[in-house]
Amino acid sequence: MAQYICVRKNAYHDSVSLMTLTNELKKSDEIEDAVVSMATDMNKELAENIGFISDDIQSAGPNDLLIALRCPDEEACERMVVRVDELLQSKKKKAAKSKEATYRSIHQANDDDADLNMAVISVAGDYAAREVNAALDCGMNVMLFSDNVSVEDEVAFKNKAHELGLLVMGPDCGTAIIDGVGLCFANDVRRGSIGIVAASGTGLQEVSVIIDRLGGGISQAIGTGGRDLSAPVGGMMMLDGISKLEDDEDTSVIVLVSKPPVPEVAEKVLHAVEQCTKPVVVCFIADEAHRGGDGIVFARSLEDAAIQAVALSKGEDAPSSGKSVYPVAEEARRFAGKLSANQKSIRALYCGGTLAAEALFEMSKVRDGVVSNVAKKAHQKMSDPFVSTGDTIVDLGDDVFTKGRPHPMIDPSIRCDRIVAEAMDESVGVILLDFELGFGSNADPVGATIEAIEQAQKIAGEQGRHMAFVGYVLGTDRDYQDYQKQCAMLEEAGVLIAQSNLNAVETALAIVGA
Amino acid sequence: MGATFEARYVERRIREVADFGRGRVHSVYANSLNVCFDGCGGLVTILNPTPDVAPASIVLAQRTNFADQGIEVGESARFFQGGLSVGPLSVATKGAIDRSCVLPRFEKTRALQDSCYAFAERVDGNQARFRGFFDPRVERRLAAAQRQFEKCLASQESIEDAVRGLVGLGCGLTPSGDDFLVGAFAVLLSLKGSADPAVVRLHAYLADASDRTTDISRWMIHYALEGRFRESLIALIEACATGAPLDGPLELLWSVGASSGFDMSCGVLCGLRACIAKKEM
Repeated sequence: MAQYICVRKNAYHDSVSLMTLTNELKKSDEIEDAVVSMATDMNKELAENIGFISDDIQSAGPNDLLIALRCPDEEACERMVVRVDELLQSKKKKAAKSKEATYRSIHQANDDDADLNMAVISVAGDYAAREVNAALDCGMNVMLFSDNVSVEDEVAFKNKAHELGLLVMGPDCGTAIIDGVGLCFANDVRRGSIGIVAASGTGLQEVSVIIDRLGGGISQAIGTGGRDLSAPVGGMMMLDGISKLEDDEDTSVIVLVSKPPVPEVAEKVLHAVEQCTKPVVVCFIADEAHRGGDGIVFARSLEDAAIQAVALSKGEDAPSSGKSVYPVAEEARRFAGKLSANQKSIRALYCGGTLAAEALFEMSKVRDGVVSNVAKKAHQKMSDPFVSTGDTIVDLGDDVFTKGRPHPMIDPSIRCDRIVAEAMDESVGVILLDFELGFGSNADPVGATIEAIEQAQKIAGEQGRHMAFVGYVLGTDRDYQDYQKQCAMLEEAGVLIAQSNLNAVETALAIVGA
Repeated sequence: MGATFEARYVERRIREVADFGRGRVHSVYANSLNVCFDGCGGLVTILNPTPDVAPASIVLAQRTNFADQGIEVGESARFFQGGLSVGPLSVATKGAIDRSCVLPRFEKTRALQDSCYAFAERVDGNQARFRGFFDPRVERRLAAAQRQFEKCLASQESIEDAVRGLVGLGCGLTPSGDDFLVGAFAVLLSLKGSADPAVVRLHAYLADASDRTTDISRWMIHYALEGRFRESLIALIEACATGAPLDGPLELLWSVGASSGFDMSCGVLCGLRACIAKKEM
């Protein structure tokens, strides 16, 4: 057995470091016992009680660091001394690669690492405000995934964030890309000069992946949370996001994505847009009120927003269109020919709420009687979200479906039962499905759904019907789920692949002969 | 040329010091910087943004990593009108908001007893969270010393020995025993007043024992003896005295250091129990 005792004069290391060091040493098989503490009288007495006795310890003062190790042999002692120095120095040298550490609170994380500048918070809504305020007090920006946060709390912490020059993305914000880092449900997209501010998660995703496909890239994508553009909140984060992108030297074009705000908030947002020196593309989903003027580009769909943004980033113009630039596949017309006369209904079962909202808007332009659980207009609301009638668009991420269950972007299986149920309805001609890829999404969204698609086709087949499926994979070639493989699985199952949400809707409409 | 930072908060007493004298950097960490002044100033701490202002602290408006600022221990520092310079770094304090760390008097109310029960439950339920990584021998010694102190407080005997058995006990820049004593002293000072004989005795024993610990802790005890405590500790005592919810103040205090805040709260609980004991001190 060997001992090593060392007193380092006036050596200051914070408490967390010393605790961590002691725990790390004790994990090693080469340490039989260790004391690492400031050499106060009480601590010296403790060390002596467990057999660490030396003149150095006797003469040490309370501002000296006492390191005492007991190891099986001298060589082990020497190795452990090196380890101690490594651990004490590791806080000074920042590791090049990211490190993972567990903390008990935001404040403790802040104490340990002064460079932390973003907190992603996902706690029950009642506790969210406290954690948001803790993060803001530590100078951190916030991405707030939590929902069920009161509007009063949201207004208060967004006001505070605004005063501190920080961002609070949320509540209910699941998607952002900050300095090239995709957060939560973001996709792996190219970096570039287009900045997005979005009050819509899948809206942000759709715009960003189409930008990527067209050769453009994202500088920053700031989520604001779905309620930011309501009257009480007043678009605080949308306005701050616009301001930050206006000042960001890496951003040359700004894109705004949201459902139409209330008029007084729309006015504030558009006024801010008018003050921008950079071109701004505004996509108010399902909006018919704004159609250009005064240098603002109003996009007519999420796809159109991406196309306009990429064109502007290249200094070009692109004609704005309410139709998808992607053609409806020829197979759609062949599918149409296989449907019976009864099969006139479309059932769109979405994981992404914004895509559902866009689908409702587009379908309602050419079809009467379309209903949805995301509808705002009374005559378009479903009487029962669990029961489809005629043309129905369902957002399966809505709270009514996700109580006590993961969101369908995380667990697509919650959609499977509904797919089979819709196939039993003889009036259904097309089932439309979206599949979101990205950092936070399910590892195999198509794989989790294929069996249900095949079962639905079998049920229809047994009843002498053909069932058409349209699938849209929202993703890029860099997303970890393997975009090409996801599309290939769908194709093999006889699903028609669309190139955008708008294209998916137009394809479904073409199949039922709209 | 170094960086200049704006201060968001300054402890009010700092502004009242006539002459800080010459300063030297005492210690540098990522989130804080300590400067020792040989005049009336004592140990001044400059901190990254935090809502919890401590005695003799200056809280910045924007965060930085102090360890990356090129500041060496021993480097000179001085106060000037409107700010402070520390080696290559300057801090502008002119526009900062004054915050007080002076502990007010609170009345002993009926709420105290209920607060005590709720508090004890929370502390018991979180022992593993904060003490779970302690060396078991330190933990046992600390627990025994705390129990002994509480017994001595109740009997008013051998308090000096009990204090000396805690000062400097535990690892870290402010050893757990010191944090515990500061928490207990704060409660007694607030609820009994500085003229209370028991408070006077405890004040003397703490002053006498304070050179048995680290510089940083010695200054923490010094400020406590002046009636100055961190805001989160004051908020917790106020919540206990008024019957307000404890969750928020506890969580804020518990976020201090690795276990310092928790250790202080254990001291607060000990002080509360002493104040509501049937036998008057």
